Parts: sequence; structure tokens; C-alpha cells
Amino acid sequence: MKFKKAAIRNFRLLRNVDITFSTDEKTHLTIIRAANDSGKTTTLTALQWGLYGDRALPNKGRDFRLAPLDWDRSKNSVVDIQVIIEFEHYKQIPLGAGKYEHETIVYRLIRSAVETLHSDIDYSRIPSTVSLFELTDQGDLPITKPEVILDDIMPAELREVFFTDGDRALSFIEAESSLSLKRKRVKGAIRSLLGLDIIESALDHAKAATRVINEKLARHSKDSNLATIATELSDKLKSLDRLNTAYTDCHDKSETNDGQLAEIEININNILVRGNEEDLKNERDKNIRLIQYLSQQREDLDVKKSDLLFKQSIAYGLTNNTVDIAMQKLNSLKSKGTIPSSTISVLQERMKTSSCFCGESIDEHTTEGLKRHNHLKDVIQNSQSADEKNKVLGELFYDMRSVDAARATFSDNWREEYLRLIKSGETLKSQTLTAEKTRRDIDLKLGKLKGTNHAELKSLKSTLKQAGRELDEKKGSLGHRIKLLERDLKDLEARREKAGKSEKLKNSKMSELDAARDIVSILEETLQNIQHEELDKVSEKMNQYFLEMICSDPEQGAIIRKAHLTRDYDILVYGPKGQKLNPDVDINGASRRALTLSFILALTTVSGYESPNVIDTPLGMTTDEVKRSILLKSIAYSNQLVLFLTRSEIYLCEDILDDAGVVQTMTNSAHFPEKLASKPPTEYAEVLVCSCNHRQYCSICSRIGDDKRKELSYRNEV
Amino acid sequence: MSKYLNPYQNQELRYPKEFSESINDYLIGREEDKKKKHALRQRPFKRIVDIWMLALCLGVKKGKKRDLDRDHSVKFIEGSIFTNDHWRVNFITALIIGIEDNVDIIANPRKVIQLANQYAAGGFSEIFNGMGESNMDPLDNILEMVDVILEDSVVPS
Repeated sequence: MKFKKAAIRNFRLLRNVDITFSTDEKTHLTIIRAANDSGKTTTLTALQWGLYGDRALPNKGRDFRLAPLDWDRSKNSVVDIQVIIEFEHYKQIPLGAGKYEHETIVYRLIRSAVETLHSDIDYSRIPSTVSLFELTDQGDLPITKPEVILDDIMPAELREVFFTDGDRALSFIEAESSLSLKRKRVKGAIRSLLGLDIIESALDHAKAATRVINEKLARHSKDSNLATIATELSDKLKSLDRLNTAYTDCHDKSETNDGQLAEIEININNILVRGNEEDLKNERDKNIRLIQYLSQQREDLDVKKSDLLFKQSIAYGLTNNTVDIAMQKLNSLKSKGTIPSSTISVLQERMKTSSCFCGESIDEHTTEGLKRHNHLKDVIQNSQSADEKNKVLGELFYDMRSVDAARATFSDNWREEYLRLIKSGETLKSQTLTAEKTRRDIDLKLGKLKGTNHAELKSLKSTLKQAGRELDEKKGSLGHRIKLLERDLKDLEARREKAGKSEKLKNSKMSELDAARDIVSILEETLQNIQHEELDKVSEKMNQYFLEMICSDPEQGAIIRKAHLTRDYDILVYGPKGQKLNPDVDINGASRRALTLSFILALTTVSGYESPNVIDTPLGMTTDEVKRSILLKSIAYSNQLVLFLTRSEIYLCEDILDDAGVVQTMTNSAHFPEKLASKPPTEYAEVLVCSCNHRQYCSICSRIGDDKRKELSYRNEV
Repeated sequence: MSKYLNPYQNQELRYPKEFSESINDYLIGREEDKKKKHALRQRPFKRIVDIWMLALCLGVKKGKKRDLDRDHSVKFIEGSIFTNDHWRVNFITALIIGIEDNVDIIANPRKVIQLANQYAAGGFSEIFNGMGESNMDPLDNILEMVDVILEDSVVPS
């Protein structure tokens, strides 16, 4: 199976996202470049929801809202959510005599759900529906039971093999899972890929047939001893069946119990990390008040910015050169005396005294004083004789003189004020975005906390622990009874053999019984072979891939010598002296990623299953050499590889990615202006997809500083 | 000029008819507009006379002057509006003296306002083009445009 394309609508941040996948055999690598918080994990979840439905959502979809968080309810409170996936599948058509013909069928899957938003937090959703169409030359043919086809092509047990979240600390070896849960995941993946369920079902069928033949033998035997043995055998086989069923049931319950216990422990830890609901609500209220305050601050800032447009400084700043001409004219008139002084009355008063303002004498009785007295008299007379026009010009001159000194700085002052307001605006916007993100985070935490209670969880944990102990006891007792019964059966079979020989009974029923027992033993052997041999093959391949991936890291190379998959489905890692290492503690993050990827790729290689591997952030926490090595091996050992990579994961691997069949870039519009260089063409917080490859950036995906990165070049959009 | 004297008291302030719609678009007149979040960013001007003054400055700065006849223009108010912002009276007078390079123009208030209307008519398109220029809001666009002009006008010392 290979993905061809996907269209995702209104799925959280993915309001309108289209992705194309490379299906080319030689260049089967698809890269989706995306920074952190740019929809990588959401896309992974959306694709899984498309294929597996609501059970593939976190917490099985409980308290997990699908509609975008910033959806405008006032416009429409009903949100249509849809994921459309087109994929091709190779079907093997038997021609007889062990020959097969391969046919490629293209399907289109449509998963839809409708969510009704009652408030910013409350919503309701009806379970999703799925439709499947076979795309043929004659048109799209609807498939009546899509779940059957989907389960055949992409079994749910293999979900974590097809879709891997590198950041989620790797489910097959992660620390937060209990041992039984890890085993269950590994076992589930292996059983499904190797087809163990089919053989087990055949074995059950053969065992049932053996019982039936044995009963017939008991009924038809002429020898009373043989008939008694056969009856006893039949009864004991029935008992063994019952005990085996009870044991399996008990074992499954015990594993489920372990899983639930692990989940509760995680939830309890999460609650301790998240804080209690009351605190979160208070924090939310505080946050809302902060957002309101910031919004008001921004409104006030807008008023100040708008006022800037009407200031005297902007008018003079823009027209200074023209006003300069006017001032020259007025100054010239003033120096010629055409513009009268506005202090005539003051001068007239001063003329009545004998000294000027400057202290010099204006006494008419002295020669120098008379000279000055006459000069002032002339000035007063000239001014008084000015006409109305000059009076107006005079008033303009004196008014303008008070502005003139400041005029030279108007322009600078205005710009200074403008830049100060712009800076304040940017700070407020950034604070608002941070506050809004905090509110979204709190809402998310509140959503997750809804219905959970610390005390209840602790009580449930204690109940589950008790149940686990009881189940273990029951398992022990059943196991003992099974052993005794198997011993009895062995004795009875030996006695029957003996009695049959002594009677020289070689009737057809005995032959049938022999044949049925042979089939059972062949199937048991086959099952054991597959369980052991194929498991060993997976183990061997996993070890090979893992060591190839981490070989370039001398530090880890010195610590790790071998990775091994046990027959109990545990993934183990060994050091140089054969000592067992704990994957959670003793090996670094890069090696843990490499180990999970190796297991997944080994499993797909051994099973021969042609399936895509969609992996989110596979190269995080890796050194450059290991990163390149993981990338090259993952490409080499998969059929269709889809990688979600950050820029730092891509860095220094560009040459390898040049061979990718498809490269696209995802961008979160909410990252503007903190991280994105250009304003996105949307008013919502949503993921935008552009066709920029790992060496390009454009006006949509350009991040601050991209223009300075040598490995990137600008792509003009067509 | 005496702060009580407004020679343009009875003169008509006018704008070209073709800009009626744009002026309305950028004016934060109605109460419901004011209630909208961040309304000023979309409608930065409170009065038409404020747009007219900025248009006058830009028209003069860019040397854009347009003839304006009564049929193709709209009177929006009289010069009495300047009484409360007396600096505008002096500013307009000085500006027109500077443009005409002649102080005698002040004897003819009608001519002063006619010239001011003509330069404002030339500046309106600068404002409206500037406001819709980039992806930012009109308020930020127009402020940025003015900032660029002022920055370009700085004479290096």
C-alpha cells in the first residue's frame, strides 16, 4: 500500500491542507518540512483518524476537540471536519499452480465528522463516518464495507508501525509504558505482520476436529477399555480447552489490567504536573483579564497613533521647505521695518523715562541720549503708519517666530514618537500572542482534566492493583491445573495407543485421528517456527539496522554492542561485556530513536508487507553523522517513507534529501511576527502548505533569518 | 496673527467628488464603528478636515496641485473650523506665502483657501494609495508612508 495524496479540512490547525506523497519506486521519499508547532503531529493524527477512525485519536477522541480552536462561532457553530486519503494497493490474484498476478487498485477514503460548538470550550461531536471508493476508468465505485478492506490493508494492530511519532519517546520501548504494555505492542505488531493469528485459528480448528474424531472413536469402539479411554480423553481434552481458554482470558485481562494501571499512573503524574483544576481556572481568569488589559492598551495605542496624523509637527515636518520661504519673506520684511513691532506701547511708556531697556541713556538733554531718543521715535512713528496688511503680517511673524525655533526638530520629534509607538505596539502584540497561547494551553489542560479526579484515580489504581494480584493468582492456579491435565492426557494417549494395538484395531477412525493429530502437531510446529524463526529474523534485522544507524557515533558505539528481540517480545540492548542495558536509561535519545526505527523497518522487511512508514521528527536529538546514517538506512529499508522534519533535522542532510520524490513545507500562521518574516495571507491560526523544498523559502514559509542562511534561497511563487 | 483673527472664517473647504466614498471609508464617524475592536486601525481619521490637512501637506510636499471646480467638488465645511486649532490658520497662511513666494496673497483669503483646496485635492490620492499599499492596517500604512517621507527629507548634517 502507498499513499498518493491527502486533503485535510478543519482538523484543528489544519483548516485546508493538501499533501502529495511520492509513489515512485526509486524516489519513494516524501519530506514535509515543518518547524515545531507547525502541524506535524496533527497531520499524523489526522491521517490516522482518516484510516482508523475515532479510536486513533488521543484518548480515543474523548475530550479531544477536532474543530480549529479559533473557529468563529458567530459565523457558524457547526464545523464539518474531513480527511480524504487517496492510496494505491497491490492486490495479489492467484492464478493457480502457485502463480500470482499483481494488480494495482487505487482507493479514495473519506472520513467525515460534524462538530457543534456550544461555547468556546463546550462542543459535541457525532461519531465519524467513513466511505471508501475504488477509482476505476468507469468512475468511482463505492465499497460497501470499507472497514473490512481497510483492516486488511492497514490493520489497526500495525498503526504504530505505519505511523511513528519520534517525539513521543517511542512507544515500543518508551519508559512511560509498563512492561506488559510494551510487550503487547511489540507482540501485536509482530503477530499481525507475520500472520500468526491465521495459523492459530487453523490450529484451534484442527484441535476441535481431533476432539470430534476422538468422541466418535469412543462411541464406535467395540473394546470397552478403549471406549472408556477415548471417553476420558475426550472429557479431558474438553477440560483442557476450557482451562486454556480461561488461562488466555485471564492472561489478556492481566495485560489489560497492567495497561490500565500504567495509564492511570501516567494520568496521576500528569495531574501532578498540570496542577489541579481550581488552580487552572484561576490561572485562566487571570489570563483572560491580562488579554483584556492588553487589548485595551492596544486600543489606547491606536488612539495615540491616530493622533500623530493631526499633529502640528507632521504638518510642518512635511512642508518645512515651503514654510522656510515664507519665513525668509517675513524676516526680510521685519528687517526692513515693514513689520511693525508689537511692543510700541511698551516703547511709548519707556520714552517717558530717561533710560532705555538696555540701560543706555535716552535723555533728550544729552547729545547721545537725544540721538537714541529720536531713533526710537522714528521706529514708533514708522510702525504706527503701517497699513492693515502689515499689521496682519506682523502678527503672523510674531506667531510664527514662536514656532520657528522648534520647526527644525518637528520632523525628528514626530519620527521619534512614531517609532516609540510602533515599538510599544510590537511589544503589546507579542505579549497578546503569548497570553493567547497561554490561554489555549490552559484550555487544553482543562479539557484534558475534565472528568478526572486525583482521589478517584488513586482509588482506581488501588482497585486495579488488587485485581492484578487476583488475576496473577488465578493464572498460577490455572497453569498448574493445565500442567496436570496435560500429563494425564499424555498417559491416556499412551494407554489408548497400547489398547488400540492390542485390539489390532486399525479402523478408519484411528487413521482419521492419527491424521488430525499430525495436522495439529504440524500446525503447532509451524506456529512455533514462525514465532521463533521469524522472530529471530526480525531480531537479526533489527540488530543489523540499529548498529548500522548508530555506528557513526563512537560514544554510543562503545556502549552498545547488540539489540535483541526476545521470544517474550521484549526489545533488549546489550553492552560490550554482554550486560543488559535499559533502553530508557542507558542509551541516549538518538539511539532510542534509531532502535525504534530499526524495529519498525525490520518488521516490515521480514514480513514482506508493502506499507508506508510515516515518521514524525525521526532525527531529533541526533548528532550530524548519526542523523545522516539514520536517514540513509530508513530510505534504504522502507517501501514508502514519509518524514516530517524540522529545519534543524534537515541541516547537513540536504544532499540526501535532494533525491526525495516530493518535498513540501508546512507553516503555522500564528508564528507571525515572532518567527515568520512575512504576514501570512490568513486571519486565522492555521497551517499553510507551500511547495518550497528543503533548500527554499518563500513569502509564506519564510522565517526570520532565512535570508541570511546560505543553504536557503528565495523561491518566487508562480 | 491674533488668536481671535481667522481670515478664512467664511471660506469653503472642498474635496474632489470622486473621493467621497474613500473619505467615508476611512472616517470613524458612526458610533457602531467606534465600538468595533481596533476600529481606528481601519478608519484612522476622526474628521474630514483632518484628512484635508494631511492631504494639503502631502500635496505641497509632492508638488501635486489639481484644479477644482464647484461641479466636481464637495464643500464639507467652512474655514471657521480652524478657530479651535488656530495654529492651522498661521500654518496655511505661511504655506501659501511660501508657495506663491509673495506675501501679498494674504490680502486675499479666498485665493489662499482656493490654492489650499487645490493642493489638498492633489494630496488625497497620495493618502488613499498609501493606506491600501501593504498588508498592514490603513493606520499603520499611512503612518509608515509619512515616516518614510520624513526620513527622506532629512538633510544629512
